[in-house]
Amino acid sequence: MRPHDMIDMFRRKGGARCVEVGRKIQTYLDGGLDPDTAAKVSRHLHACRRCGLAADDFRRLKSALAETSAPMSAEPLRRLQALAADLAAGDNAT
Amino acid sequence: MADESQTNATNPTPPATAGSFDVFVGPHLPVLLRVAGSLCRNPHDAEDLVQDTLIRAFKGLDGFDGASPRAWLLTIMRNANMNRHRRRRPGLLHDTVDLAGEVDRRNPPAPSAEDVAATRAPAPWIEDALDRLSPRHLHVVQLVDIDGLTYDEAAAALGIPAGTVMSRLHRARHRMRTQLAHHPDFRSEPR
Repeated sequence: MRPHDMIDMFRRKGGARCVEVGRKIQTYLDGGLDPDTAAKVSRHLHACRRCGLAADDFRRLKSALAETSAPMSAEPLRRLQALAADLAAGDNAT
Repeated sequence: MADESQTNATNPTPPATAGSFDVFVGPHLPVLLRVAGSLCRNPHDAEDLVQDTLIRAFKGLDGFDGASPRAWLLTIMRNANMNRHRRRRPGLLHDTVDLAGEVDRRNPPAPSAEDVAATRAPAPWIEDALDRLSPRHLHVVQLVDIDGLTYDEAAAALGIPAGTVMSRLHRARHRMRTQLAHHPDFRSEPR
């Protein structure tokens, strides 16, 4: 990282510094921040190109990972639902 | 952007009673089967594991306080999975992460033709990035980013603190992002 970039990370943009927001971007994208902190991070991401690009990367990564979810066959689900119904009805020898 | 700041919503779960057990667990079965598929080597073992989980959950229904039903079911699944490992490999009981099972993304439960038609093939670059992760990092990425669990639910499934789930997940994503930084299909567009 260039010295100019280092200095830039300590400048306040949108009410927060890059060094503070950088640690919170992933939790923010996962919905794990309190509303006030989330709003502060959101403002910074709109004001700071570097952090905005980082957030875009993590969004793209999360989206691509979600798409790798393997399709699930319906048949095992039906059998498991039937087992749950049998248990509820007291029909299963446990 | 606003919806990203909201905590993951879950469907309301009916009260847990023996007579309505199927209604109670029904909404959670897809997640349980998906997570079991992540923990087991083949789809038959995954279904067996969910069956064990359901039977144990039914037996333990009286002791359930009603809070976080999915995390409760995932904890039961983890314990059932540990018992299965203990029966099969009694000498390997020291690493809780190993006990959580092996991630086998290349051998998912067989989908139906309808399922296949409705699903897009994952990008090769994301598969490559996943393959480069350590097993510990892959576990949390699989459970949270692929299977859709919250930190707390993944913690219940793995038997580790939620903070550990978060730190491993963030580190794993950071590594994947660094690795993919110069990949043409991943790189951020100039803003």
